[in-house]
Amino acid sequence: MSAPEPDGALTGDRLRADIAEVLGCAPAEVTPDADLLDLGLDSVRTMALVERWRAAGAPAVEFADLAEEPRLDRWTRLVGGADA
Amino acid sequence: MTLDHTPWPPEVAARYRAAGHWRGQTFGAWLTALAEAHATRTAVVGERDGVTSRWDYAELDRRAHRIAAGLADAGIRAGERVVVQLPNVPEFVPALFGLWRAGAWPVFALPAHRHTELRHFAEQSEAAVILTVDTHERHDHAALAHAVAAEVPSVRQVHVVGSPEFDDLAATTARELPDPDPSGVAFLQLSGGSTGLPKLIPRTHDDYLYSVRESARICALRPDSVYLAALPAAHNYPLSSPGILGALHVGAKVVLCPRPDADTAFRLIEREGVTITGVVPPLAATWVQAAARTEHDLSTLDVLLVGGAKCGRELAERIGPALGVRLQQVFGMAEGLVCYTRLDDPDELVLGTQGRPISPDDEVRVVDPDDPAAASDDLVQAGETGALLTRGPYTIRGYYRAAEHNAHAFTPDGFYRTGDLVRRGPTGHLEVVGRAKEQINRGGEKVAAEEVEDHLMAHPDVLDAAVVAVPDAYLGERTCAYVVPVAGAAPTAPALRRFVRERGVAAFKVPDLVQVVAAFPVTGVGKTSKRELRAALAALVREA
Repeated sequence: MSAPEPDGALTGDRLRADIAEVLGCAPAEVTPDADLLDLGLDSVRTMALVERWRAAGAPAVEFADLAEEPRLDRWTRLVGGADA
Repeated sequence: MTLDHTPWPPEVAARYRAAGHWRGQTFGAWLTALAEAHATRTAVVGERDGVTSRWDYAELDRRAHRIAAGLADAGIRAGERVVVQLPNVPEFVPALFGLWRAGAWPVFALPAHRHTELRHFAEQSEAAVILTVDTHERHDHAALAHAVAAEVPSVRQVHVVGSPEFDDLAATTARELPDPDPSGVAFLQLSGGSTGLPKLIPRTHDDYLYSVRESARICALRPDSVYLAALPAAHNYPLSSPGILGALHVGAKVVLCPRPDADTAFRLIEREGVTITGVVPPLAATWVQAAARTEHDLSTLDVLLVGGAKCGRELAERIGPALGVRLQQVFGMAEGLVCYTRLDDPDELVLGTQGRPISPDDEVRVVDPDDPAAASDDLVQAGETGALLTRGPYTIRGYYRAAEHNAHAFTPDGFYRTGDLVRRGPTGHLEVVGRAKEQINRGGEKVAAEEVEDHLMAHPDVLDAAVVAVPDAYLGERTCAYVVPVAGAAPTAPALRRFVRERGVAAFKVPDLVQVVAAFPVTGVGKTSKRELRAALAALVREA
């Protein structure tokens, strides 16, 4: 595990924690390549995460992009901007 | 018994005609009249594959005529069933009227449906045709339709909107076709049933158009209104409450929204000057949240309908201030009855009830909900909670080819047992308080417990399964499956979810939570009664 990032930074660990929270599962279950649909993700939860991450400093994150490929590794690149 | 359509008793039908509810007009004739009245007004705006189409009423009418002629030339005969699986593309509207003018009966599948469901609709309706799109949201719908066609002998043709073949069909020279019987079946909607597989709901031109006209009036639609179809258009709610058809009734503009997330919807609301739309409560909640930060101008939006699932009081109170709209609650069912709060109702009713019926001829009975198998149908005291029964000028008297099911879904005197638990106030407004039927209302999508259990029990490691609703902060409620494995097996929750998904079912039916347990964690429940088992599990979940 990497060292904790400053509060609010949209790191992979922060995304993982947010996803686990809305899914009601343990962060460890949200592995980088797990299909989030198999973990119980639905479109309304995805929309809620979009709003949350926009408020936290990723204004360009789009529902359509997240819905395209619901996996933590993909989302980390999208939200982090590396792959946008 | 294979009755397609259970007719209303003749004296009742005569009364509905005398009252002007049923006017003896088909959807095709109705569109002809609309095209004459509103020829150059914009009727339909929508996008497919990134291309926006914008058709006025005359153009919509022309396209519908050509598609009708093309379908007739392709050998589609009046009364034949056509499974329609179209997302919110502009072609949905002319295709629908084309089918109606050809006398074919659309069977409304949803874009989310997959192989298992589509095959069931095709088999149950003995469909001749599947009408679909190429791909939508990364799913190959054309391949799905062809796979179902290969398995269901009645299906002779697959038509794919956007294909060169469909373009040819839609370019057929228009001609007048025989107008179907307005009192006969116009289309088949899907029940949000509680049994293993959805039932088909036969609606007539006469009865549906009555509900459309009244919905347009109650929602105060005008020629300068702009209706955004945010939810999948084939649902009864965006189609008719007041929906696409209600907007067309007054010469207004219909905008088809390709997906209902706030970004997409807000962009269209601003661009097209949308004045009214309808959503389910979880979507309303995300829109409320997104409105706080949106760059889009939502000032044209005047009315937001919320329905499909109960809108909680707290959310209801936030909607108006956050979005700058008037809230209108709607409670309806594809079988018929639709209730609205009225735009001039006091806040207490708008925020705290799901509205009152459309028609003075809607009959509502609130009865003792206990012992549903042998219902006494005794009325409860005024204001008490009971099971909702209804009959009226746009509520069916029977499902399509389902005599056995009809015997208990309807009372001997023709009331439909909705399965909803309601309280009726002194003004006739209904408050939905729950369900007597074994169904999960997952943010407006109705999931039958039995259907999901059947899928789980098809897994070789599963001995028994029971599916119940659990409260959910995002969707209102969602599904929880209790699974008892066979001896020695240890299936995991993600594996079971993937198994159900890969059986080819709509994503909203895949159980959200899966609890693998050695035995159902309840005692004193008869082994043979799934109903009692589900009730006990649901109680357990509520106490947790």
